[in-house]
Parts: sequence; structure tokens; C-alpha cells
Amino acid sequence: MGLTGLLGKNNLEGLRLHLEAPAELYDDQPGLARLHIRNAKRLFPVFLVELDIEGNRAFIPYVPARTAIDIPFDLQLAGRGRVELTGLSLRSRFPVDFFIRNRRLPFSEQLLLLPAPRPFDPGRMREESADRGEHPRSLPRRSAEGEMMSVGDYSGSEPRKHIHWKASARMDALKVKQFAPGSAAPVMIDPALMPGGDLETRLGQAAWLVNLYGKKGLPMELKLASGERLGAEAGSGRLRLLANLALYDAR
Amino acid sequence: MMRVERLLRVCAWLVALPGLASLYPHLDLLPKALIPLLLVLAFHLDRKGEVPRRTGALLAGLTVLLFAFYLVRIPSQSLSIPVVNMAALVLAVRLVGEKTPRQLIQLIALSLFALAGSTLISIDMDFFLYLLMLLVLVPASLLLRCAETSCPGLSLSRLQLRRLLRYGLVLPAGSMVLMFFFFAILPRTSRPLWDFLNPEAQATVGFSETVEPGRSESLVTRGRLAFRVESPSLPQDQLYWRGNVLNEPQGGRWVRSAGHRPAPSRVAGGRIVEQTFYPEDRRGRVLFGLDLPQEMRQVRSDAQGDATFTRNRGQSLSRLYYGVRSRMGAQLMPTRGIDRDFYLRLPEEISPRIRALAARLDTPGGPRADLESLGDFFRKGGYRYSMESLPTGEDALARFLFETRAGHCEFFAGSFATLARLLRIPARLVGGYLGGEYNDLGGYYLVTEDMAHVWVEIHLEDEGWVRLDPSRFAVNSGAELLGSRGGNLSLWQRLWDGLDYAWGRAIIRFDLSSQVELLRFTSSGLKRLRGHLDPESLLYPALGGAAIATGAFLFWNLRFGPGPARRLERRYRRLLQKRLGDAARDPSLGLFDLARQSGIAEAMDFARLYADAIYRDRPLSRKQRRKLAALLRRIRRPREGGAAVGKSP
Repeated sequence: MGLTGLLGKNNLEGLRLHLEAPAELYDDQPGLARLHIRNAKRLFPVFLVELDIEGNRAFIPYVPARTAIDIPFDLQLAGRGRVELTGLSLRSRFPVDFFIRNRRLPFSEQLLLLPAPRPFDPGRMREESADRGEHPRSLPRRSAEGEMMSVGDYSGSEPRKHIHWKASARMDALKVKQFAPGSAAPVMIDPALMPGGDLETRLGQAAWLVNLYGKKGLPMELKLASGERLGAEAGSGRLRLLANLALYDAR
Repeated sequence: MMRVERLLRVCAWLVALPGLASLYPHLDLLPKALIPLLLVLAFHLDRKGEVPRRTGALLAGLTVLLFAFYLVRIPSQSLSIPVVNMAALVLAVRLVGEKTPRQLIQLIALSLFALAGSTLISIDMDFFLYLLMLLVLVPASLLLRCAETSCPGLSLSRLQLRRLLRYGLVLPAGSMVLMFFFFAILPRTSRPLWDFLNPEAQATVGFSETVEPGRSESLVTRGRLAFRVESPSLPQDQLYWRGNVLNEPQGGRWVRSAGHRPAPSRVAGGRIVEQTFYPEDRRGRVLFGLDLPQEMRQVRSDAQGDATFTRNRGQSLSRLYYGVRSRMGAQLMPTRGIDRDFYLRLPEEISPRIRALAARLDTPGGPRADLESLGDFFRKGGYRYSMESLPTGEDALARFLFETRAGHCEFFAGSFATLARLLRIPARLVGGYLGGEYNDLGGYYLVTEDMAHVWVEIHLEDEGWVRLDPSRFAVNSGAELLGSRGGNLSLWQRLWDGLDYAWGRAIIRFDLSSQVELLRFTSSGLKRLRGHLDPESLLYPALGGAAIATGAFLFWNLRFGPGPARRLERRYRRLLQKRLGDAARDPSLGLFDLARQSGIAEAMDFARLYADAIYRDRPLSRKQRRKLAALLRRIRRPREGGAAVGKSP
């Protein structure tokens, strides 16, 4: 019994952990981090350790002595902005499950939690804005230069070459291709103008838009709470905008 | 990859089998028959992968029934027999059921209980083997169980599994050390505590306290161990282990008279032989010794005038060994006259043929001449030593002497003593053992029950009691009598018996008095050591010890130490930590970080050179090591106006 106690205690000694957070980690959404585990002990391997970081758990079956390993780690955290992870606890039943030994490791990792993207219907928003007589600035204006953004009804004024024949045949009505504006005109994303009720929802919607346009390679501009505008070139800067959304403060 | 869950099933079997095997030879017929069937069923269900619910319920019912059956039998039997039967059956039934981590714990507990139960019946070498098996298997199973509980459904690679199990061996190794330590120091009684669970065993051994030549079945159980004797190697034909003296014929039997008190006598002459006896049968009261025993030690005994020793009533033989001092080839001289009438008393009915023979052998030359003619009669009579086709019944001796002319020692000794008494020579029988297998590996004689023997002592006025073995008159005595009584063990048999003997000595017989002896030995050893402690005598051992320690340290450092590169890195970190204080103690800080923080150009050079070699997975060359060491020296004693690098924010 005494021996198992000693082995169990020794098992949790000499562990060094470092968390490599995923590049994008959204509020309350799982992301794949990497955990670097180093067993600094000279002779004794580490066996059967359960690891817990803020409720995110991983199981480490074996780390040889004087060796470092990398394991994937599913990380899901709630909140937005800078988060400091300090709560890392190790738990092990090793060697024979007579005792469950717990240990907290000194651990400090800073993460940036991005607002969780919330999809919404931009077309509806445009119509609502038009009804109110506003210009929907957070939405890309249609043009014939950029990439195809959506499919709309044929009003009779669009050039014939914009007719989406395939969609028209399927829908039994004439449909036209609607294009995003060209590279010269960045899309303005203003979280304050998002349709969501509260700030977090609006930031989520803005994040969704950033991702949507970012993936399409459109240039974007983000209007911060301070009124400052942050631009992102086509195909880059998406993460910078998301980071700013994460640190966005409406006050 | 191997699933731990599957391995746990194998473990369940491996753990249960030693427990079952330890009990199986001692079980009643019913469990003996049932257990193999249960094992076959368990194997079948394991292969199928599931245990039907009905089977589980049926087995639970069966267990209850068997439990009740053995519970009822407890009052009529000793407690241990029903207990071991129940333990074995419950273990076998448990093996049929599911083998989840929880049930594995039950199986382990039951198997250990079964093994412990087997000690109620016997603690022999098998027990130790099963104990060793469980000592290894139980921690291995618990480790795997721990893995499965920590992460259900876990699979391990072969390497991980090997490492886990290899590490698991630390547990039994450590336990074994602790086990022996506690075995030596835990308080123990001078009497086995569990003896009350077993009834007094029947004294069914080869050595019998009566001699009845006409009853062939009174012979010994072949090959069963009677005792072991630590003693120097002795001539084989002198190995007469004296037990008791049978001095009174009663019908066809020879017994020891309860009413007669033998005259006191002294043992004179001969060669002193010290022995230590380890009897196997602890219940008999007769204490044995090499003929002639003079003194018994470490046991309270009652010494009789005819050199027989009996254990005092109330004196437990749980001690299980005693010392004997004998004089080999000595004379047993009565210190006063013997009761001649008593030693000439004849059986009530003697065959007329025997009386006629005695009359024929009687010579006018006195006892010596009579003995000569008696010896001649046996020598020339063509008698054969035999264990088969023995005459039985009341007239057995006469039929042996005149018809079959074949018999074992009881026939020879019984007829010789009767004829001697008819010739008016005081005679008596001595029961004991003849021969022994000498185990030179352990330095002891192994004496088995089939070596039980009876010989004769006759009394001559000027010589006292003289040993005479009539069985030696047999024409085939060389082969049949002496040939089977020694020198027949192969090396392996001697080795195995040596182990068994060591087991008995070190484990079974380790009692309170052994602990006291161990304590005395240790304390006297320490005192001796203290007495010899003078600086000169200590010099060489101290130098030797220091050399060994240094060698061990160097070996350890070479084998497990950090290596030259790592040592340089450590020195670098230590130096910079000294300069930068606590802020530099963060192990996550890299070499370059430290160099930048310190602002020392040599530190940056060191980091570059080191990183260039190490991070490209190249071992440091001798030249690089020298250069790094020189840089470290410069970091320690920076030159005035040394270059500096920009500090990081």
C-alpha cells in the first residue's frame, strides 16, 4: 500500500506542460489545441494521467522518462477576449487505483477567445434596412466585378449575361447572379449595425461575416467601438479583424 | 494496439488459476469434479463474449446451495476442510461470470483468500510458488485495471503495454523486500495459531511404536519424509537413528512396557556427533537421535535409562527442531544391574519349533557362544530380506524361521530377540530408522518413512547393551536392506529437496525463538563490529567503499546523467540566473531569451553555437565543447568593456 502511494506520488512529479492554443478559438466552440508534455524525470515514466484544464480533459497513457510528447487536445472555453488559463490539474489512479492522486501544476497560458460566429441572412437585413431607408453598410454592395455573392430575382434591368440559367431552370423563374463589389471597395462591417439584439450576438454576426468574406477573399473594413476603422486586404487580415472583434468593447 | 479490456479477461484467468491450483489437491470429490466443469463453461462463455443472465442467476443459486451444504458440515468436520472447499467453488463460479474491472477485484480477493486458505492444510513449496505467481500477476492485473478505469475502452500499443507491465514489476519487487522485512520482524507465536482449526491428525506413519511381525500392513508409507537431520556425513552403515525401545513381548507384538523403568545407564566412548533434527511429524512424542543419543537440546524431554527420549507432555513441537548430541559407536552401560527377569520375559505363546531351535542353539560356552551360534543360524539359514509374501497370523515367526525364510526387519529382530531370551540373554528391540540420503548441498540427511527399521540390543555383562541388527544376516541385505537406504537421489532431487528444506527452515520454522535468535545474532554481530572498529582496519574498507561509490557515481552519470551538452547548458543557465535573478528562473525561457536579457555578447555567442549544434541534432564535437566552455568562463568573468547585445523589452 505504501509502495503504491509512493509510486503514485512520483508519477505526477516532474511534468511540464505547455498548451499551444489553436489559431482560432471561438466562444464555447471546440478547437483543436496541442499539448506539449515533458517528463523531466530521469528514470521514471509517467503513466495513466488524466489532465483537466478548465473542464477540458485529456488522457495521457504514457510519457517515457526524459521525453516530451505532443498530443491533440480538444479545448472549449466560454467567453470572449483575453482569457488566462491557470487552472491545470492532473489526476491519476496509477498504479493500482487504491488512491486517486490530484495535483495542480503552475500553469499560465493566455488565449484569445473569439466571438462565436452567428450566421444570419444578409439579404433579409438588406431588405429591412432598405425598408427603413438606411443604407446597409455592413453588407457588400452588389456589383458586376467581384465574385458571385448570391442569386436574386430578375428585375428586367440586369444584363442578360448575368442570368443564372441553371438556377432559373431549377426554380422555374429567371434568376440573376449577384456579384460582390470588386477589390477596390472593401465591405464595411460595423458590429453596431448588426441585426442581433445584444452586443454579443452582434459581434457573433460580425465574426460570421468576417469569416464569410474572408473565405471569399473580399477586402473588409471593421468599424471598432471607438469609431476607428480597421481594414483587411483581400485574402489576409481575417484573424486580425476577428481578434479585434474579440477585444471589442461597445462602451 | 491491444485493448485493455481484453487483457483484463486474460488477467482474470491468470489470477484465478494459482488460487484454484493451491486448493485443488485438498478438495472433496464434489468440488474436484465440479471445478473442471465450471472452468470449461467459463472458457466457453468467454469465447462467446457474453454471459447469459440466466447462467448468472443459476450460478448464484448454485453458490448459495454449496455454501449451505458446507456450512452444515462444519460441526462434523474440522473448519478448514469446508472453508477451502467453499473458497475454491466460489472462485470457480466467479470465473464463469463477467470479467469487468470490478469483478476482477473480486477474483483477485478470492484467489488470495483461496491461497491463504490452503495454508490451513499445508504450507509447502507449492504455496510459495503460487504466492510468487500472484505477487507478479496481481499488480500487473491491478495496473491494467487502473488503465481501464482511468480511460474506459483504452487501447495500448505493445511498447506502452510492455513498459507499463515492466514498471508494474517494481511493485512485486518492492513488496517482496517489505514482505521479507515484515516476515522477520512481525511478532509471532511459538505455536501455530491455526492449529485449532484442524483436528489432531492420525499418527499413520512408518515408524510404529509397536512391532508386530505378523501384520504386514503395519509397514510404512513409502517415500514420505520422516525427518531431516543436519549432520556431518557419516558412514552409511552407521546411520541408525534411534527412536524408542520395545522391551516387552505381548502376544505377537513387542511394546514398550509402561510399568518398567529402565535402569539408568551412561553412554561411553564413541565419536561425538552433533545433529539438528527437523521432524516432519510434529505430533509423535518420540525424539530421534543418531544411535546412541546422549543429550537432547532445545526441547524439554524425558530421558529414559535405555537412551530413549520423549517430548514432555505440554511441550509443543511447534518449534519443530531440536538438537541432539550422540556418540556414534559408543557403549550403553547401565550404571546398576538391569532387571534380568524383565528382559528375559517371553511371549505367552511360543511355537514349540522355536523352543526346540533355541534348545538346539544353546551351547555350554555362555552368552557369547550362544550369540555366535544364533548368528550362525541366521547367517547360514539362507534368510532373505523381503517386503512381500510375508507370513501372517499368530505363528508368523515360526513360519518365517522354518518355512518362508523371507521377511522384513520386524521378523528378523522379533525372532532374534525371542531366541536370545530363550537362550537367557537379555534382549530388547529398538525402533527407529536405518540409512538416509545425504544432501551435500544442504549438509543434511533426508530420512523417509520407508527407512523405518527395527534392530536388537542384547545385554552382555561387561559390554552393556550392544546393538545387533539381525536383518544384516539376510543373504540379500546388501541390496535390499542397505541399497535402498541412501545414495539414490539424483542431483535434481537433491536440489529440489534442498530448496524444500531451506523453505521449511527459513519460512515454516521461523517462530518467536527464531526471531529472538536473529535479534541476538544481529546484536552480537554489531558488538563484535564495534569491538573491531579501529582506524587502521577501517582504512582499506573505507577506500574500497569510496572507490566503489565513485565508480557507481561515474557509471550512473555516464548512463543516466545529463551528458556533456546538457551540462554545459545547465552551467550557462546557472550563470545567467545568478546575474538576472529570479526573473531568469522560468524554465520556459530559451537560451536566446536569457542571452538577450543579460545583454552579454558571449552569452549570445554561446546560445548561437549551442543551438547550431543541438537543434540540428548533432552531438557537440570536442572543439565545440571547448569553445563553449571558454565562453562560459568569459560570461563568469566578463572583460571590461565587453560587447553587449540589445536587451529585449
